[in-house]
This record gives sequence, structure tokens and C-alpha cells, in this order.
Amino acid sequence: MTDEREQQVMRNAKAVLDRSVEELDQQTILRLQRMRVTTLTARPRSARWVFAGGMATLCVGVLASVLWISKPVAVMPVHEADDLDVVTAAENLEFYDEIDFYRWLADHPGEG
Amino acid sequence: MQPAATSWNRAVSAESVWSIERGDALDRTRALDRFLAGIERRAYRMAQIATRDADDAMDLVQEAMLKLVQHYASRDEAEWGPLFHRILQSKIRDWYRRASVRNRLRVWFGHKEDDEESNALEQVPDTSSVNADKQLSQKRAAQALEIALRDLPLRQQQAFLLRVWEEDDVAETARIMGCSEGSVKTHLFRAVHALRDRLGEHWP
Repeated sequence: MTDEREQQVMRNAKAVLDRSVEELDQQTILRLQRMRVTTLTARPRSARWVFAGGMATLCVGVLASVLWISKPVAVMPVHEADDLDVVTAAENLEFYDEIDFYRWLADHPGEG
Repeated sequence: MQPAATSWNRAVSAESVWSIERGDALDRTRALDRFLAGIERRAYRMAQIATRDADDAMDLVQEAMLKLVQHYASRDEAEWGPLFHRILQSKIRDWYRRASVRNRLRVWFGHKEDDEESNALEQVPDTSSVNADKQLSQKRAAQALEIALRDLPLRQQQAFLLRVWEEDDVAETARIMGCSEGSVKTHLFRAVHALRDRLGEHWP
């Protein structure tokens, strides 16, 4: 498939590339050595920590999903239907603050 | 006496297992060190030719080393070579994709494309001179090859370096490159032709 010239190009290329590796500068060689040592001393993450991390992520996910899906709780100050009138009334709320007095007044008409 | 002896035996046995495991791990680390020491320079040169950048090449080689150590250290030693090259070539492809996007953006935002490299081959002096010093001639030949290799499309470059330099067979090269054996042959054919035309009759 390949002619003699192509074979020669491949042989020469291989020789030139091999030589380029032998002639790498000292700084590059040292960097590569340091990198190798760093790689080999880098402790792989313990399976136990990977599991714990996974579980923590799962819990946070579940909690977030629950909060997201669950219906918002209506915060209403109204506990009984009777109070609804009070909350929705446009009248001055001071009237209701003193409602006991007005009730007493209604029960004792002659004393006001 | 019997229960005490049993627990003692158990303790000794556990200690032995721990020692063996520790010894195995140490042996494996030594084997990995030998393996990486044997391939790191060639791997760096491959990455450097692909990226044209020493720091990027270092990063890619380190990422490939880390992945091999963290994920495949327990595999058979004979598998480390092909696995490492598969990882490295995959990292180089990812780098190439990112670089392509960056270059497109650069062109989009009006930056002029750097054509210094494409003209570099023309700047390499003619090595056919009879009086040329041998060492200088070798250096120029290396420069010419490097520039010609860098200018090859990535897939052709990978096929050439793996088949010709690493001497991987077609099937292994195909596995490393993640393509068919037919594609490897095509890429190599084109690469050799391009290099032959580019480097000229008198190279090296």
C-alpha cells in the first residue's frame, strides 16, 4: 500500500520523535517526575466517604423535593369562622379591642 | 485455654492479611510508578504536539495519569498501556473541542487568527545543503516534522503517532481512538501522504 518514500517518512519520523523525547529539557523532565509522584501519592477518595457524600446529597434532594412538592401552608390568623368578619372588616380595629366594654355597656344600659 | 488460643490465632491471621494487603498495595504502587515513568515523556510529547502548549500538555498527561491510578490501578499491568493511551487521547480530543469553540469565539469577536504557526514551516531552513552541520540538520528535521504533525487534522495526527510511533496495531489504535479500523487506515494513509508532501523529498 505504501511506497518506499512513505516507508522512509515513517521510519524517519519515528527516529526524530524518539530523539525529541531523549532531548527533553531537564525542567520538563523534573516537572513530569513531580507530577508522577503527586499522582501516586494522591489518595483516592475512600469508598466510605463517597457513600456518605452520596447519602447526604440524596437526603438534601429528598428534602428539597418534599418542600417543593408539598402544598404551601396558608398562614391565616383566623381560627374560627366567626373571626372572619373581624379580619375582613374595613372598620377600625380599635372597636374590636374594646368590644368587651361595649358588651358590658349593652348589658347595663342605665350605667353608661 | 482454647478460646484464648482461637482469638490469638484470629488476631495473627488478621495481622497477616493486613500485611499482605499492605504489601500488595505497595507493590502495585511501585509497578504503577515504573509504568508511568516509562510512558510519561512520550505521552507529554504527544500531548504537546496536539496542543502546541507545554502547560496544557502537562495538564492533560497529569489528568490521564490520575484517572488511570484512581480507576484502573487494580487492572492487570498489561492493560495499563492501552488504557492510559485511551484516556490520554480522549483528554486530547476534549481539549481540542474546547479549543475549537474558543477559536470560533475569538474569530466571532474579531480577533485575528494566529497564522504564525502555519508560516513556521516555511521559515525552517533548507536541510539539503551538503555542508549543513549534522546536529543542526537533525534539529531542523525535528522542527519540520513537529510543525507538519501539528498542522495535521487531529485524527490523522493521532493515527500517525499511535500507529507509527507507539507501534500499536490497527485494532488497538481503533480502540484507543474510538473509531473503526477502516477509519484508522484512512487517517493514517492521509497523514503519511500529507507529511510526505509537506516535508519534501530531502527530509530529514
